[in-house]
Order: sequence, then C-alpha cells, then structure tokens
Amino acid sequence: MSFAQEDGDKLIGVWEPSHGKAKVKIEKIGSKYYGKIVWLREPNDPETGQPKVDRNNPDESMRTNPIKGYRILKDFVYTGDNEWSEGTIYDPENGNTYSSTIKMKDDNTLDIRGFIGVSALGRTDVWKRLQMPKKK
Amino acid sequence: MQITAASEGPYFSGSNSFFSEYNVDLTTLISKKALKADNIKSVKLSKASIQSLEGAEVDFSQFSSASLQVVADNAPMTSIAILNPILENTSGAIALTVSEEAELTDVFKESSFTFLLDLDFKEDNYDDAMSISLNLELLVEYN
Repeated sequence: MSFAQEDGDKLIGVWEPSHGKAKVKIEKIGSKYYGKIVWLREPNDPETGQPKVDRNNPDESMRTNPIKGYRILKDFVYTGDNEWSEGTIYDPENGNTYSSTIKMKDDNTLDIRGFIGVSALGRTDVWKRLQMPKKK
Repeated sequence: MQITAASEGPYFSGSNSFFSEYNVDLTTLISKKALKADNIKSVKLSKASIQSLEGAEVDFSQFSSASLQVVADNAPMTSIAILNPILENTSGAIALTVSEEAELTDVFKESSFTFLLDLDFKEDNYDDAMSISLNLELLVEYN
C-alpha cells in the first residue's frame, strides 16, 4: 500500500477527549506527531490552588512539570489508511504510559486506543476536533 | 556543549517550542578518542541551563516554566530537564532540574536529533523570532 506522508497531517489540530477535561493540540515534529495539553477545565490543583503539575510522573525529578503544555501523545507515525501508530499516550492522573494507535473515523473524530502489550487488551476513547466558532 | 535553540514568533500565552537540530559528532564531543556509535555504552545529562545569547538579551521573567526534550526519528521523545517555576528577576544562566532517569544513549547513536525546548509564556509576545542558548553537560560512558 502506498500513501503520501503529508496525508498524515490531517491529524494536526486541536482535539477534545471524551471526558471534556482537556484540549490537546496535535502537531508534527520532524516526521512524527505529538499532542500537548493546551487547555484544562480545572487548571489548578484543588489541594494547592496552584497550576497542576505532573505529580504522578514515575520519574520523581520530573514531577514539577506543568500539566498544561505537557505532551501526552508522543511519537505517532502515519501508517496510511487514516491510522497513526507506534505512539504512546500518557495519563497524568495515574502516571502510566500506554502504547497507542489513532484511527481517524472522519475528519472530526478520532478513536484513540491505549494498551499495554497487545492492542486487544486496551481501551478506546473518542476524541472530537475542536470546532472554532465562525466569524460574523 | 553549547547549542542554540530558535523559534519564530509570534508567541501566544502558553507553551511555545524552540528547536535546535544537532548533528551528532562524537569526535568533537569527546576529544580524547575518535568514537563510533557502537562504542557508546551510555549517555546521560548531568547539567542543563539556559541563558541569553550574547547581544540578544531575553527577558526570562516572561516565562513561567521551561521543559527540555530530545526527539529523533528512531528513538522516542524523552524529557530530560525542567524548571517550574522560573523565578522573577532571574538573570544569567538559569539551571534546569535534570531528569534522574532519562537516557540519551539512543539519540546519540542517530546521525542527528533535535533538542526541543518548551517555554511557557505568561503573556502573548509578538517578536518575530527568538533564540536561546542551551548549555548542557553530558556523562558519556564508552568502550
């Protein structure tokens, strides 16, 4: 199967996971795709009143990293047929990183699957592209 | 090693990325020995700091935090140093907290890779471009 690498660029944009607690901007760096948190519904930690930091990171030295701006999607490669694979997704709520694949169902909908080991053992979340209000 | 990370503006409030492409040249990295990639046993970052380039002062108080990563075609993106918060009235070289676990071995076995510095802007900044010096100290084990 052949495909143009630029076809993968349709993934670029701002997306909202189903929980609605964050917005993630996907961008291309080199030949791979990465997604960072650009908006949080609750930007501050209720315990400290300060902006949330990556307090569950397994690397203790990295726990002061802000969650806003954090790249939770890393290293996705476009493999054709509206799929991106070989990436990882990080869950800041538990500090776990999962292998991940992305399938674009339509221009505005992604199935993002996170798994450990084999893809069959995992969970899929539906992300929606952020629709910008039309200018009057 | 000292490298320059650059970015084009404008910059909007929040995280903005500065890039520095690095062509791996092990002979200049370790002057004692003409190393090949196979000779490398491990590479770790021991110190990292950021500062203005000479003649191009950057006001670091406009940033709330900094995060440094490496990214390569055949290796996963890895966070290697952070600083949060960046204190007001900071001047000179600003030391980042280096990851205790991050490994750079794989990226130094590539022919080139990219240092990616994310700076969190407190407010919008409409400069056309900005460059920042990265000062890195590496621990390299080799055969």
